[in-house]
Amino acid sequence: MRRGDDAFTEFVQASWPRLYRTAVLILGDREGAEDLVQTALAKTYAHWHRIRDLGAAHAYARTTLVNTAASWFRRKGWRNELATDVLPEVAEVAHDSQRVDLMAALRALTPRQRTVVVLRYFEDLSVAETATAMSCAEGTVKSQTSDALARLRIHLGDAVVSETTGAPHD
Amino acid sequence: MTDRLSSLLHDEADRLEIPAPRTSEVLTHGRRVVRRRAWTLGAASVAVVAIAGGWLMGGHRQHHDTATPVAPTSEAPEQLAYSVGDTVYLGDAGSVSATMPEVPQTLYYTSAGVLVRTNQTGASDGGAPFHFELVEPDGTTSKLGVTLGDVVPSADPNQPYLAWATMQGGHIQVVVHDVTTDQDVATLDVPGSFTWGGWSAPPVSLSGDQVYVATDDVTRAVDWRTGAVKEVPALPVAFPDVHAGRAVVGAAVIDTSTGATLFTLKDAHQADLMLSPDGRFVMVGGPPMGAISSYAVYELATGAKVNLEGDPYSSGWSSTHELFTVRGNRMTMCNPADGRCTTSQVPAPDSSSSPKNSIPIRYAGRVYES
Repeated sequence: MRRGDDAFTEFVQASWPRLYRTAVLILGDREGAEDLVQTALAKTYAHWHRIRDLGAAHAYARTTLVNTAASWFRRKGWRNELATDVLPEVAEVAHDSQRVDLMAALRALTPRQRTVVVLRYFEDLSVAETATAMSCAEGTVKSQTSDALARLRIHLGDAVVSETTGAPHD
Repeated sequence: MTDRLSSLLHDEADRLEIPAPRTSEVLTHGRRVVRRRAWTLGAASVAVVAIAGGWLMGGHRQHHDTATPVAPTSEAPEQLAYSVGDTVYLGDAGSVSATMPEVPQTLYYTSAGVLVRTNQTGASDGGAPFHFELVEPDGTTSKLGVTLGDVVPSADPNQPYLAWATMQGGHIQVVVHDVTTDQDVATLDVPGSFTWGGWSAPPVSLSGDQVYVATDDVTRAVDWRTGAVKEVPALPVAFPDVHAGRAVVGAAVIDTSTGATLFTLKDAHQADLMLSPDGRFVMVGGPPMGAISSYAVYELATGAKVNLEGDPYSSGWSSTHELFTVRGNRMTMCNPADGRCTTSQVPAPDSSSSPKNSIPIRYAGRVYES
C-alpha cells in the first residue's frame, strides 16, 4: 500500500462517506458525526505507517470511530446515555414517517446496543468482527444484540424485527 | 429475520446528504496527534522550572561531567504517566487526564499510549480480575477486551503489545496482544512447568520480540514472531524484569542475549537495583531501613553516578529514563544523565472529594506485583 499524505488523503476521501453514515446511525447527530469521523481519521493518520492495506485501514478507522464514540458516550451529560421506552423528540425531522420511526427507535437504545445494531445490520459485520470493533467479548455482542432487537421490536413492530430473528452471520 | 431492519438502515443512510470530507482538518488534526505522541519532556514543559547546574531539588553528578545529553534511543515518543485514585495523568504538567472505570493497579508504557491495568481496589495481591484501558496521548481511552486473572503481564515502551502467560491443560502458553487492534497476534506453547510464585501462570517480561518466561527449571525466552524458544541460564528463575534486553541479576546488570555482565555494583549491601525502561540507567534503592532521603542512579555505559534526593520507592520512570516524583501539586523530574531536576505544578486531587483519591499514587514504569 502507498504511504504518505497523498495516499492518506485519497483514503480519507474514499472512506469518508461510509464512515459518516455509520457515525450518524450510531450518534443520531449529523454534526457530531462529522466531528467523530474527523477524529477517527486523525487517529488513523497517526498509525498510517503501520497499516498494511486499504481494507485494514478502513477496519482500523471504523474500530477507532467506534471506540471514540464509546469514550464520548462515557462523558457526563451525553444526551443518549440512557435508553428509554419512551421515544424521545426527534431532532432531525424527516418527512418519511417510517424513517422517523427508525431513527427514533435507534435513539431509544443504549449507545452500546445502537452500536451493535449498526455494526451488525448496517456494516454487515459478524459477531466476531463486531466484538473486535467494539473491544468486547462475542457473548456481549450477542446479548446486546438480543436486547437491542427486543427493544426495536417494541418500537418498529414484528414486521421489521420479527420474533424469530436470529443472528444471520454468527 | 433482520433483512427488513438492515434494509431500513441502508435506506436511512443512503438518504443522508454526505458533507464534503474534511480532508485538511483531518490532516491537521492527525499531525497534531502525531506531535503529541512525539511530545518530549523538556520541550513540552510550561510549568514552573527550576534548574540548577548540578544541585537543586535533586542531585548532582559525581563523575563524567562531560557526558553528552541523552538522546532518545527508540522510535517511540517519550511518555510520562501516573495515577491518583481512579484518574490517570499524562505529561510533565499532568495536563491530560483520563478517568478509569476501576482503580489503576499498574501503568505500562506502550508505543500506542499508556496501558492501565485496573481492578476493583487497586490491590495486586488477590486483585483479579484485572481489566485494561489504553490511554492515548490526547487522553482518549479505550477498553481492551482482555480480562486477566492472577498473572503478571508485561509491555515494552517501544511496542504496541501486552504479553502474558496462561496455563492450558497444564501446559504453558504465552499470549501477545496488540493493544491498538485489541487482538491477539500470537499464542505460543512454552516448554516446562510452573509451580512457583503463587501466580496462576508464570510471570513474563516483554522486551522487543522476546517474551521471557520464568518456568520451574529455567527462564526461557520466546521469540513471539518466530516461535523460537531458547533457555536463558543467565537469568535466575525469578520474577523476570527485562528492559531493552537487559536485566538485573543480584547486584549486577546483564545482557540477556549474551549473558555478559554490563554493570556490577560494588559494596552492594542488600541494595535493590531497578532498571530504567530503556535499560540505560539503574537506580539503586535499599536496603529498606527507615526513611530514605537519597539514592544513586548509574549510567550503565559509562558507570557515571548521580545522587538524587528523595525516596527511590516513591518515584516513577518516564518511558525512557527520566525519574519523577509527585507530591501534592508538585512534580519533580530528574534526568539521571546529568542530575538536573525541574519542578512543575500538576493537578492536586482532593482526597476528600473521593475515597479513591486516598489510594497511593501509582507510577508508570514501576512494578506493582506481590
